Amino acid sequence: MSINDCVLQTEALTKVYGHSPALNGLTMRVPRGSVYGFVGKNGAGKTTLFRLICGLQRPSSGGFSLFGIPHDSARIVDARRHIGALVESPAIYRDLTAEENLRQQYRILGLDGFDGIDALLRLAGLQAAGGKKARHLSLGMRQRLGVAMTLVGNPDFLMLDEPGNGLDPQGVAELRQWLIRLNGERGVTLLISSHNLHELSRLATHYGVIDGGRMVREFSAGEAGGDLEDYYLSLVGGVGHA
Amino acid sequence: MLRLLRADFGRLKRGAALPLFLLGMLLVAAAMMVMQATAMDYTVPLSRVVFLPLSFYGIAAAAFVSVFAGTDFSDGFIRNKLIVARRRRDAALSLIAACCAACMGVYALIALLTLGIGGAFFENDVTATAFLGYFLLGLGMSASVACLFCSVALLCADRVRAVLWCMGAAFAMLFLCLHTHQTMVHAEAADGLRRGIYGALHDLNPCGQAAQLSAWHVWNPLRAALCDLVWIAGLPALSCVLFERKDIR
Repeated sequence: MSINDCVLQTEALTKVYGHSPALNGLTMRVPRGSVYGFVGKNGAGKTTLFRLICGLQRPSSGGFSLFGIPHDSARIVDARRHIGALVESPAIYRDLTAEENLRQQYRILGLDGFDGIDALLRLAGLQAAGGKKARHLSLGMRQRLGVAMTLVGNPDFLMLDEPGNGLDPQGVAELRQWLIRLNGERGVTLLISSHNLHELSRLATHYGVIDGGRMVREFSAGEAGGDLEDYYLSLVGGVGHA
Repeated sequence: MLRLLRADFGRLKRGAALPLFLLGMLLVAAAMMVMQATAMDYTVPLSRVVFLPLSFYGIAAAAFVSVFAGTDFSDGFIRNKLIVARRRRDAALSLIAACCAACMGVYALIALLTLGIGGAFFENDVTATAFLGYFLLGLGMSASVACLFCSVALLCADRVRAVLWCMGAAFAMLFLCLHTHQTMVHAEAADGLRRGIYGALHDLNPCGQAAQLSAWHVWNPLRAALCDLVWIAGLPALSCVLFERKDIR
């Protein structure tokens, strides 16, 4: 797989907090146009990877390239403008309404006009709650708003950290439909970290299993066979496999 | 940078922090004027009223700036900003600029309102040139306060910690100002070196400048203005350097 076939490629990426490494030489490749399921235990380093890619933190060593642009290049800023990211929790102002939050996202992206806001509110199922302050929205509604925020500016690469958090079964199904449509119709590459392996197996085309900050294995959906959970547990040494 | 500035100013307009800051200062100004107007045993001149609300300005500004800037971190929106910012310092500078504009705006409104309303109730001994000079110095003081507390909030990268540190700093500055003010008043005839050191400390402390303005007696306006310049130019530069290295969660 050449570098141009990958949206994201990391090479021995390491991030150390104090003396404990959160990422320990992680090497991974997210193919263009794929839905990449990123799986690992709590504290395995999934969110740390998201933070590094988004430029919230700097790698201790190693590196990554985004759309083929190395992380230490000045042009990485341009590459980041093509990503949408939900890291850990929805990045929304709680004392602003859903609509005002979307406007804020439009402003920081320098987009003229707010034409797409109604469509995004509809997509997130928040058209009736668009005028409500975010702090008065339910957990699931805030999560949907957080995901809608990542879509502002039509990104080519979406990074979603536990996007199903707080969503009811209907919300999870709707989110899945969104993501399948985004990937299928617009060719958006998706990197999704989730503990819900059953849900993930319904949309992921590729997987990466991380443990202790290292990549245990990358594989395609076909390689996982019928049961992703069994395959995952066999890799990380879970119940019945240790 | 301009995109981020637009977003920060948009939030100033729509958020609750700025109206609460303004309301708090209006209440302080009204209470101060009522207290001075009802002091029956002596006549209070307008000059002793016009900047009097500034005694509480540092604390109110600390609360506003720490909440406004800290919310970016507690609500996580700083992540969206940093993803799209050309440079990290753009996000820091736009936040500092928005805080400066808000603090200067609230200060100007309070000072002009107090002057306008106070003019009707107090003996007017305020000349236009003296007011203009002190008013401009107050603008510098309010910008210094904003730079100071916003820098603290940026380095805390958390709203609760920002509020605690900023409020702590505001009270510490207030107590320091009481001490230096007392020394300056009592050491009127003291030696030049001691006066110089305490005077510089008093001017370097924005609360000290507020105390001088509220007493309508600024010992060394040029030195005070220079101290403001040091804060306004130095703090954003320093906080940008430190913020550049900070891990954001």
